Amino acid sequence: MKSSDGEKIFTEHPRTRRRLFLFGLLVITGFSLIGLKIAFLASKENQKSRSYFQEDKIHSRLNITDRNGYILATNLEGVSVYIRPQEIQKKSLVAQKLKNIFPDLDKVELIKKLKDGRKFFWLKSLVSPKQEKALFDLGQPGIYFGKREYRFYPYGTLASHVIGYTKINEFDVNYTIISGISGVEKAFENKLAVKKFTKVNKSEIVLSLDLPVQAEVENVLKEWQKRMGAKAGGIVIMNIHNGEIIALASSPDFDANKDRSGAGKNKDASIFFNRVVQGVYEMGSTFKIFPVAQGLEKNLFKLSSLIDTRSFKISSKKIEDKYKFNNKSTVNEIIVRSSNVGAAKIALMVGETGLKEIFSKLGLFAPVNLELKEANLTQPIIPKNWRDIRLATISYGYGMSVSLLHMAKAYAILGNGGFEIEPTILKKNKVGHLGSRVLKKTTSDEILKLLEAIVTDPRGTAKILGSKYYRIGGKTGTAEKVSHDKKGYQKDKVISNFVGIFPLREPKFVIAAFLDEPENNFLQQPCRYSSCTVVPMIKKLIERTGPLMNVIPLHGASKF
Amino acid sequence: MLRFFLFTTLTVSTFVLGLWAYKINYDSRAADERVKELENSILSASKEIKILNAEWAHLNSPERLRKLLGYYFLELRLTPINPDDFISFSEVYWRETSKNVPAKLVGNRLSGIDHEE
Repeated sequence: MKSSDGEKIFTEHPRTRRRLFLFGLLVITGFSLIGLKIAFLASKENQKSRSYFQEDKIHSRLNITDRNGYILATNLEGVSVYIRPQEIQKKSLVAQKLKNIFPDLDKVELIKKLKDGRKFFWLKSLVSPKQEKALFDLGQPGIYFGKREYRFYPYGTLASHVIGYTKINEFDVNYTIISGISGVEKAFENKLAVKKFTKVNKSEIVLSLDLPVQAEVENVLKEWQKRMGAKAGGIVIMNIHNGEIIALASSPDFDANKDRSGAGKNKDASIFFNRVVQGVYEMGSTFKIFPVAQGLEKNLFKLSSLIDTRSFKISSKKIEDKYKFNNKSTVNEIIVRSSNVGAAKIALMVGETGLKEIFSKLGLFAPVNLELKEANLTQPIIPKNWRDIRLATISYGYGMSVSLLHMAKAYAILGNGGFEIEPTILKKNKVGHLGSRVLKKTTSDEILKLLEAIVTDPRGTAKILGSKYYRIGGKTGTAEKVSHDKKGYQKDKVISNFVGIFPLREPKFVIAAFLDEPENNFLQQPCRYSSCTVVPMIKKLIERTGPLMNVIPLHGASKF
Repeated sequence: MLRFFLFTTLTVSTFVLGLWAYKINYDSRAADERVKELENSILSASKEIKILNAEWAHLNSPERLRKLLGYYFLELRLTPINPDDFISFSEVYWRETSKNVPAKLVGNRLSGIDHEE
């Protein structure tokens, strides 16, 4: 150091520089250590707050909506109640107070639970807001509330078989894991269950169902099931071009909001059975169209060709008709008036390979490739041997069982110009044919003509479907049910069904319906045939759902 | 002199930098808090929306609407839509004056404002 006049006051120690340097280094190291620590703490704190936030939101479940965006299933947050008995002093008094809020509680058991020294137990898994407030107003320590997500189906029983139901897999005081058991809830489990953190979840599963149509379909089905005294029934409406299922109803149905364990005990478990997708039945005359389609495809005959319709015997079984037919009838008449003899003759002409070919083209040999797991597990019942007698009975729908969905798919292929389709429950953005061609266009055209003739011909089995509004074509079928000993058939118990294409001007939908053990008692004689049980239902159904599906009537209204 | 100036600048800038770092630290914490708050309010709002949506769906359930239709039939006279409700364009009733007007012009007239003649 120097004074102002430049004279040295004291001399520099030789090691001063080095000491100063070392001291400086120490200070810098110390401060940077502190700085680092601060940075570390700050970053850790942030992470902590984030992760807490994340945990808060996982284990949710997406909404399921119909094609218009109506919510069919959603997750709501409820409140569960648990108790820590050690924090409660006057146990009997508290038990009485709880009993006042929840009258269904067992007081003795509750006191036992409170007193036996356990640290924790669940009081209720889900309480109503009113009960929550009442509990809160008790101001009692030891009673805790936990978050509990639950699945809510705003429309109750509507489309219950398609949507399916869920169960609670795992729960704790702040989360619930719900998983699907059937229907869409099960089929799309991986997409529905949200495990990753997303701020606002906008994604949802959009189904092909059309809620207004579905509601109308269920309404009509329930009404006619009641009217015809049927045990069960089912209806499916499907787009014949892209396979979208517009409505699918199976009756009886269930309300997935209600506790399933209770339903299993008190009610018939069969309400959970999706009759359209899972139920396989012998379909009766609706099968007759298949051998005819194969015959047309192979140019074996035309609709105007004459076929011998006298009753005949194969393997000691006589094949005959209910009504009188001429000795020779056209293919058209055989189908329009539904002749078993004619159909059997056609099947024998087509032969085993021909019949197998058309069945596999129409997808009747394999489960329907629908997204629902129920459909994938439903195997049609196919005979092992295909002797002539078997060919004959299959031609009119006995000896082979398929589901109604199979029938809808098969008729869709016949009616859409011959293109392969895959039924789907998801809304597709694509329109038009998605599959490859399996049948000739001419075959499809002829089949549509034939189906329309069944409605327009005065002797047709579905003539009451004739409507001034819409052109529809379809085939009726009535099959006697196998008796319980599985040896014969029951004359008085039948499955009546109908599969049709609509509107014929521009085929767009296939409608398939069946009733289990219907009987129309409003006529002079009780009638179980499809023509007097299912067909009137279809008439009503089309008048109600046609306008909802934007099908424009043939000509304008009559009232102006 | 230069040295004094240098030291002063360094000291002052250290203070300023320190203050700045302090402020940034607190600002970022506050921002973090705010983000958390906002996210929570978004979450609770979206939960609320979810509940309202579910309630709206429940209130509009076809079964309930059907009951209401029956209840208010005398006032509203609503019936299910049926094929009779569709009419073709040629059946639309036009006023006398528009009798011989080509369809295209009719369209123009409808889109115009002048409806009261």
